[in-house]
Amino acid sequence: MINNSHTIKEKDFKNHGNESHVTPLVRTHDLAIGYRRKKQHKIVARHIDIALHPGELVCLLGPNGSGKSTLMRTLAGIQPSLSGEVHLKNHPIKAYNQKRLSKELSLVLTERQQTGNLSVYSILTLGRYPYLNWLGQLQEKDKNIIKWAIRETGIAPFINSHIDKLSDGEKQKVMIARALIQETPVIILDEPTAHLDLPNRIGIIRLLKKMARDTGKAILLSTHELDLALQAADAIWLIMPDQSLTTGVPEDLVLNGTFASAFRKEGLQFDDQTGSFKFHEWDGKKTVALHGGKATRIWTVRALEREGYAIASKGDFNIVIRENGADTIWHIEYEDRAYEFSLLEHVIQFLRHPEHREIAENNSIYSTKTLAWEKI
Amino acid sequence: MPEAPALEEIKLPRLLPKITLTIALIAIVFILLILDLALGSVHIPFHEVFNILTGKGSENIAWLKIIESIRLPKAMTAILAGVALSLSGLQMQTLFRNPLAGPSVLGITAGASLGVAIVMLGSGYVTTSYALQQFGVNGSWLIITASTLGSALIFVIVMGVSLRIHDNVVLLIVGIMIANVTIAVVSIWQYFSGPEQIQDYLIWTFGSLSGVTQQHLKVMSIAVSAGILLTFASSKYLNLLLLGENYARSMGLNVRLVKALVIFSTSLMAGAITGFCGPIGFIGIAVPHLSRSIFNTSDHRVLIPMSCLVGAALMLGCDIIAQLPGSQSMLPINSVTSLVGSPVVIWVILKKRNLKAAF
Repeated sequence: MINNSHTIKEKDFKNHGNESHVTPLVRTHDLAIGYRRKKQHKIVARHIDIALHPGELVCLLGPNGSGKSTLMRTLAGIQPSLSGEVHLKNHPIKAYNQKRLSKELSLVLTERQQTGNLSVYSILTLGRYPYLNWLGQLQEKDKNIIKWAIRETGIAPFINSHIDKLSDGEKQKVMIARALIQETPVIILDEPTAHLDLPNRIGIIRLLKKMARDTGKAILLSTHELDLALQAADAIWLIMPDQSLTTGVPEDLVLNGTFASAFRKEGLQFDDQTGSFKFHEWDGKKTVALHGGKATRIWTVRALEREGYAIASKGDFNIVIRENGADTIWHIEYEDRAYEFSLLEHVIQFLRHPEHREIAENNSIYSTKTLAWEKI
Repeated sequence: MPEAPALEEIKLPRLLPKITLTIALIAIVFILLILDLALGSVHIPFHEVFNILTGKGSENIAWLKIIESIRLPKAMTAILAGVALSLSGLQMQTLFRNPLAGPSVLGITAGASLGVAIVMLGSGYVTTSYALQQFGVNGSWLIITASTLGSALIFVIVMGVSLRIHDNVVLLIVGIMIANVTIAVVSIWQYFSGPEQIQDYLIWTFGSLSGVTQQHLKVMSIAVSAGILLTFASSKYLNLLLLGENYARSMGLNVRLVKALVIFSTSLMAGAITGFCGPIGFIGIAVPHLSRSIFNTSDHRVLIPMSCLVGAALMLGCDIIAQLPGSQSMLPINSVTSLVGSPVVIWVILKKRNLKAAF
């Protein structure tokens, strides 16, 4: 299946029309990455064929220890490959010296900043280093690029602050602005959303997406945020359990089961309906039959799954959702009784202790004998 | 989403140090220089010091002589030593990303004394301040070369260790150990020397600014100026290193070259000062912290010039204390710098609470 998805993906790229004619900025062929230790090669991943195109936001996914960082370091030219070569703009990356490379490729690293006492603006000016004369003076052009990056990343309110006074999200934006100021066609970010809360995570990914689209930069980032990656990435590179790398458009990888197989080993179930992992494992015992409901249905299912139920056509209980404008009513039949609840909280309480009739009757807005209910 | 502002509306801050603070510091250095020249076992009135400094001379030949051939070289040495040691400490703290690094802590000054001792041993002299003074200009260059090489040797060893050990505290311990080994080697050699030489060596380890003759001063100022120029030239590289080596590399910095540059300039400056004045502690570690806390930045474009001023001022201040105005005796400069330097370090740590974050 893996090989299959791979070939599908390659073909897809070629059918992409205009984009396929754009030469990739970064390209590898049969790359193997890992570490050299005392003449022994410890291979982390192999047979890597990838292409990073201008204007693309690519997310690199894979479990911890699968070699995401190693791949990024190899692509950035920090770490030598074990075999195969990384090509940057059709030249082997080894052929670039440090100075030339810094004008083609910039990095945003995970290592937390220890530089407590630098102002944000000082850090931003460092990004211009590859372009400065030996005196290190900023020219008008340099200042304009710095201003542009400040505006795009929205960090203007704190350019005078010291970096250690900023929140993690603000710090990350500063480091991204610094990479933008370096004016490179390729930006590689190692887990830029780590340590961030959800609004900041979305903000950062949105910013990167916008930068890729507006500036034509190729942006590669590694992340653990599966659902964010699925929504934002133009392409996903997924490191598989067998040390290979599968690439493709996110939706293709979901549909052809690549995600499911990539994480199966970890004991995780990928839900291709929601694009996320199933949190609750069903013990194969409790079932419930659920009828009706539109907007409410998905949340009802979540509540039921959390309680350990699976949805089936015939179940231990029979729940009918009736939506009436903003109000929702859950009908449940049990033994000779039928109840109507207006809150899922009460539904759950009932499911836990169906034998406590008094509680169920107190919670329900209406309850009756089954016979009566059938009449309604 | 709010309307994005036009680029012109974004105001960029200035990177230069605050002008008022800078002028104040320059004034302080100048005042301390005058005080250093005026005060001592013989008190010379301030206006006379002014006249002599501005070339008008003085009626009192003795005062002229005292200032021109004794106090001025000593004050110049103090300024050079303050600047050189501060810049060495600053560069080392940045290079090792360690707030406790400094020429005396990591054994650079010990390496310099080893270099001096080896030259003395090899050429049949003994390490005495008297013998040092007897050397002519060629001898001065020999001493500078030896002490610089000695410093560089220790620096390279510590650097090599730092490549294997990324733990700052461990590196510090290794540096202290290497310094101790170096000092022990010199001590063993001292042990086999006569009692007078041991006494002379002890005097040398106290550190002395007055043992530097005008000839030495010339050589020393050339070496130190070269070091200062190199440090100024590498300020933008040092800033990149503040973000860590990986970032520095990704921005096109040749880290190996910068390390070599820092080793060279630091060894040159610390070596030259130690070779002629003996080991002077605490200036190298205290001044960078003091400058950081005064100017509230780690930016080397600010820190390097300001550390020069703070270092010069602190060293002049120490020298004024060392010559115990009004009395005939002098304190060893090394004890004075430690007396002044240690409280400064403690004060900075207490004030900042978190040295790592401020650093």
